[in-house]
Amino acid sequence: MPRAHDISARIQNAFRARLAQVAVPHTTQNLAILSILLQSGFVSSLTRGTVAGPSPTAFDTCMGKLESKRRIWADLKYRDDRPVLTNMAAISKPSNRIYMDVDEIKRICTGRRAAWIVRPLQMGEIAVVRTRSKENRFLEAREAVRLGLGGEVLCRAR
Amino acid sequence: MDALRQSGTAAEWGADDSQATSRSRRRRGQVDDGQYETPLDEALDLQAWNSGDLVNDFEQWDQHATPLEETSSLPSPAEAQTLPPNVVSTLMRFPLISKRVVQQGGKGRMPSWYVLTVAGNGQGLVGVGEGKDTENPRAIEKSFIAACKDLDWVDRFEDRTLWNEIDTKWGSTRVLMRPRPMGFGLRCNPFIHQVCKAAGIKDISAKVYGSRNGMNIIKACLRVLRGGHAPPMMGDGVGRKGTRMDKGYGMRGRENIERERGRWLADNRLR
Repeated sequence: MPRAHDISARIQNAFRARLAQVAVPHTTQNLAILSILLQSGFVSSLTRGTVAGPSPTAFDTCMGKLESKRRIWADLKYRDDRPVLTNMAAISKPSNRIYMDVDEIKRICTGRRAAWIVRPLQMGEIAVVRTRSKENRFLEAREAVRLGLGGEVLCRAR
Repeated sequence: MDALRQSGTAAEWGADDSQATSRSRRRRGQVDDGQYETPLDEALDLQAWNSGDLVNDFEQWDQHATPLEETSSLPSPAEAQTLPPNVVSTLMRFPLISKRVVQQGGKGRMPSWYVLTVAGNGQGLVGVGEGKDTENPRAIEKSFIAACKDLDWVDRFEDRTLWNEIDTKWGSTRVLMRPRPMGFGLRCNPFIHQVCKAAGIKDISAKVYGSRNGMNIIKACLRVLRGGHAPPMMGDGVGRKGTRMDKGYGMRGRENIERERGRWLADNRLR
C-alpha cells in the first residue's frame, strides 16, 4: 500500500529532533525503503521490534503477534552534530500519482526535470522507485535505470 | 601609544608610522607628539570635551573638532589588519554598497558613511564586512578589514561551480542558484556576480525573488555558500548566541557527504 508520506515524515522529523532511533510500522514497503536508505548510508542499522523497543525476540512473541504492535527500528546517523539526512519527502501523492519510465528516471538522475513537477536529483540525493518486477520490487532510481525498469517514484531523500 | 607604533606589529609589517597632527592641536599650538606640555593643558582639553566645545557656532556637531589626537584610541587601518600584507595584497576587494547614513542626535544630525565590502582570493576564500566612519575612505578601509576577518572556505565542484542547487531566504530576499557547465559564466544578479567572482565560482545561474536589497542578497549568498563549522544551534560553542549568519548547514561537498554516509558516491554519469 503506497504510504511513503508517513515514513518520510517520521524519518525526517526524527533526524531533526536528533533522536537515536526511530520506529516505523512494519510493512514490506517500509522495510524496502529503509533497506535502500541503509544501502545509501543514511541509517546505520535496522532491527525488527515492537512499539516498546527494538527486539527481534519480542517481534515474534506476545506483543509482536499483533501486527499493529510490530515496528522496524532504524538507528540514525549524525556527524559533527549534523544529521546525515536533512530532507525526505514523498513524490507520488494520492492526489497526483507519479509513474515514470526508464527515460524519465534517467532524466531526473542527470539534472533535468521530468513528469513536469519532479525536480532533478541533486548530488547525494536518492529516490525510491516501486517497480512491477518480482525480483526487484523496490529500487533506488539509478539502480532502476541500470536495470531498465520504470515504475512509481515514491519518495526522495537527501 | 607611540612605543606601540614604533615597536609593535605595525612596525614589523612595515606600516607607515608618521603621525598627522590634527587641526585642533595645530590651532592650539600643541604640535609636538606625545604628551601634553603641562597637566593644565590636559585638564583644559578634558574640560573642553565635557563642556561641549565640539559644537560649532551653528549648533551642529563639528566632526573635525577633536580635543585629543585624531587617532588616539583607534588603531590605524594598518594596525587593525589581522592578515600579513603579502596576503592582503592578493585579495580582491569589492566595496559593493556605500551609503550615507545619519544619526539624529540631541545636537542635530550626525552623518556618516556605511560601506559593505566583499573580500576574496578567487580560490575559495570569501568574506563580507561592514564599516562605518564619517569619512568614506576610512569606512571602506574598516569594512575591508572586517571582511578579511570574516574569510571562510567555499567548497566548489571542479573549483568552478556549486555542488547542487541552492535555494535560500534572508528576510524577504530569496536567492536561487544553480550549478552550470564549464564555460557558462556567471549569469546572475550583479551582487551575486561579485561575490562569486571573489569566491572563485565561475559558472552559475541565479535568480533573486522578492526583495533585491543588495545587503541582503550578499548576506544570503554568503550564508549558504560557506559550509560553516560551528555546530548548528550551539552559538559559538563558548556561551555566545548563534548569529543569523550561522543558521543552516550551508553547502556540503562530495567528500563531506561520502564521509558522513560512509559510502562512495558512484559516478552517476549515466550514458
